[in-house]
Amino acid sequence: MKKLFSLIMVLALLCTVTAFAAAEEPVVLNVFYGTSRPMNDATELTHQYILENLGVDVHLEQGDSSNFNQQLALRMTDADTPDIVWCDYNVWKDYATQGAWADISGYISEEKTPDLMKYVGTDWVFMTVDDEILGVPSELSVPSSHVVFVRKDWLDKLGLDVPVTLDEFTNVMRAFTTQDPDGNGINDTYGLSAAGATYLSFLMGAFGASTERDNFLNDDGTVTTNAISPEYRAALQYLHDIYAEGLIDPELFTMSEQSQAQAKWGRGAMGLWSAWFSHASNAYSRYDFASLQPDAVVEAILPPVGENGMSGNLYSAPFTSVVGISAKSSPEKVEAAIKYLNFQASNYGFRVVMYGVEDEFFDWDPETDTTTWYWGVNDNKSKSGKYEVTDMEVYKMLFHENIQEQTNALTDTPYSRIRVAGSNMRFTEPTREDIFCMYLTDEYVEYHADLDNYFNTNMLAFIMGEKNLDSDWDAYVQEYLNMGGEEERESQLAEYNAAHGTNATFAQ
Amino acid sequence: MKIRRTPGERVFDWFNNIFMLLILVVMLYPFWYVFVGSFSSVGHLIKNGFVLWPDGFHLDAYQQVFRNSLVPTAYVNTLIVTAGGTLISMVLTIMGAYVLSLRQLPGRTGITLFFVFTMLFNGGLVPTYLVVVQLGMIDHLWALILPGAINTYNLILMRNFFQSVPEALYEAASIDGETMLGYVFHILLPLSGAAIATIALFYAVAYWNDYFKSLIYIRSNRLWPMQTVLRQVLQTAQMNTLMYDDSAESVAPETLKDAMIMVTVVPILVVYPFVQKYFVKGVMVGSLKG
Repeated sequence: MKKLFSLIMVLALLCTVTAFAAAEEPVVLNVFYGTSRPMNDATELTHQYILENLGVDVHLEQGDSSNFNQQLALRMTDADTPDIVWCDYNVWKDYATQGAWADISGYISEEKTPDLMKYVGTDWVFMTVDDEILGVPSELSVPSSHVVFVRKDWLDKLGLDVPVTLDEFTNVMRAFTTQDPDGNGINDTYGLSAAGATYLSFLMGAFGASTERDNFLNDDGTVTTNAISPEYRAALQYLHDIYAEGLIDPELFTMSEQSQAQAKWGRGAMGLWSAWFSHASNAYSRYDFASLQPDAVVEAILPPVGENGMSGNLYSAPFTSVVGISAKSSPEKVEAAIKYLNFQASNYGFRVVMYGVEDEFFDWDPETDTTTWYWGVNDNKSKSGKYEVTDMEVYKMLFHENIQEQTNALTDTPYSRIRVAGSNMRFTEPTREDIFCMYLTDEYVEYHADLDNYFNTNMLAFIMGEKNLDSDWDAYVQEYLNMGGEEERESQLAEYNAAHGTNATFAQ
Repeated sequence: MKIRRTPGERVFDWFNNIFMLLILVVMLYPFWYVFVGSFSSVGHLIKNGFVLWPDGFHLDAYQQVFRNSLVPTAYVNTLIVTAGGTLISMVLTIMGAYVLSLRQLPGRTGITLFFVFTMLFNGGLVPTYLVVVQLGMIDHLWALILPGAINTYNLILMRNFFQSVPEALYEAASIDGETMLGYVFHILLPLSGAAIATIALFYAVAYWNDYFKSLIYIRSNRLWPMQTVLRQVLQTAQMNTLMYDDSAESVAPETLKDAMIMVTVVPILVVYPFVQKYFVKGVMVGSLKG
């Protein structure tokens, strides 16, 4: 009896030890997405944090961002597909219809994953295919990312106020172009420059238009298709006029890299710069702007207000990328993936994957919900000085721009000031929502590439005067509708109405 | 005897030299610009655009490159792949080329055409990928070497060179009691120095420059070769000026790019002078006999 009892005790002990060991065994998740963000000793701390606190061992496989879709196609043919894939919304949707993603509806709930439920909100509807939830959207939570920067020192020198209306913007651009604001005696400055025509949206907003093939909901419940609207036509006329007058940099239309615009800004080639919200601060940190333009005072300003009171910068979709979990992953892995994503969706978890571990790379005051981050100070070292602080976002898959907004600059430098001002402006400036941007219908998939190309080519042709708005506009509109524009927008309107229970129609 | 040249010929030579000099400048300046850029301050590049000299001797970009923890391992990986790959490729190419150069090989034309067929048609990316997966080479350096170990163009080039060696040499050697293998090692290969050096250089440069295979077959960045790391740095530089960029890196993307390009290109460039004497002879290899 004694022997039997001892045997049972030993077996029980063994079972406990085995169970304990099994519980301690982390779940390995292979994560695949297109990134060139560096992995180093500093980001390894984040990896270790996730491993120790979530029991998830994230094996990050960095895809090549310019060949990512091709790489993904190969990986999806493989028996060993990645557990987590972060890709564009349209790519995710394509694989979703092929059954590539796991249904996560049984793994998410207010009880189990409160942060994730709060994070995604009502957007689960876009993740649902045949009553299955097949992904987690990377919410941008930011109305816009484009911001207009102005050389305030030039305004002061020319005795001008910060422009508010479109007319004032035009006058400022004219003064910057013709009145030698840099005082070098040479007529070598432009009113406005930017890297690409898409950055002209802030001017088009004054007409209720944009530089994209957006669809806007009007106050009367009708929908306006920007590409063929009178508002868009009026905006094109305005842009053509200021282009013809020489107020905007003609290279604006051919610059393909932001570094080219950064260089022009550094040389003091323009007084207004429409750019990504962080670019003016990057000019200080990386392009030696303080030395190149020592007297410069830069401000982030609101886009102009048009005659009808309209104003807005380019609209950012609620999300453009999605995290999918492979249908081939085991239930244990799906559960671990959801746990990992729920962590990223939380206030604290986001900070860890965004900035690095607390006390080394950031401090957080939960009461004021303010983050103090250690970038750009301490000679780019972490708080203890042990780690190089570079780009720490390699494990981040869920954006949280509103949390990023609650960052607090450590130094009162031009870099920090314009960094915070640019970031704040994204939430302050008005935008006009593209209400069809999440409805990727079959017709959209079929026609959008040709329509995008047609729209962009003609936008440049009208602005630069290769086409005449009076004589060529009607033919342009007809061709746009004939080449699939009509079918595309009708299909999107049908989906929109079905989703919202509305009966919206297109404005005449 | 000195050949008298007409004034027209002299004028032609002058213009020819000027024209060639211009081509030289057009070829050389981008490389010079990258070299200068890697040692310049970003302010100097932005202010002046077209620069001929650096504004000092700034090593920040190089420091940043070598602080990248992937660079040392990537160098080692590239050296392994380049040295090992070139060796394997040369052994296989010489073996294949010699066999194909033998007139007594039955079905020689058919076999050669079989090889040539692969220059025009291949299995495609997905089937090749699946073969590599099935062979268990994913995430191994072998995947960077074996799938492209024989380049048919180089094989044909080498075969043509071997064919140009007089058969009488083999007959004489065999009369003296040399075996076929002995003939290859003692006579044929020593005579083929120029061809071997040239084709080895072709292979080495191809292995050194290849980044696509590692994008497809390598999952761990610890196994990335230099070209993939270079690509990552270039893309990071572009991304940092483009999208969700918040970091306050102090080194400008331009100078960083330039330094990274120099670090990646210079080692293979250094090899050229050593094989140049063979290379000049070797470019004519196999070009006269088909």
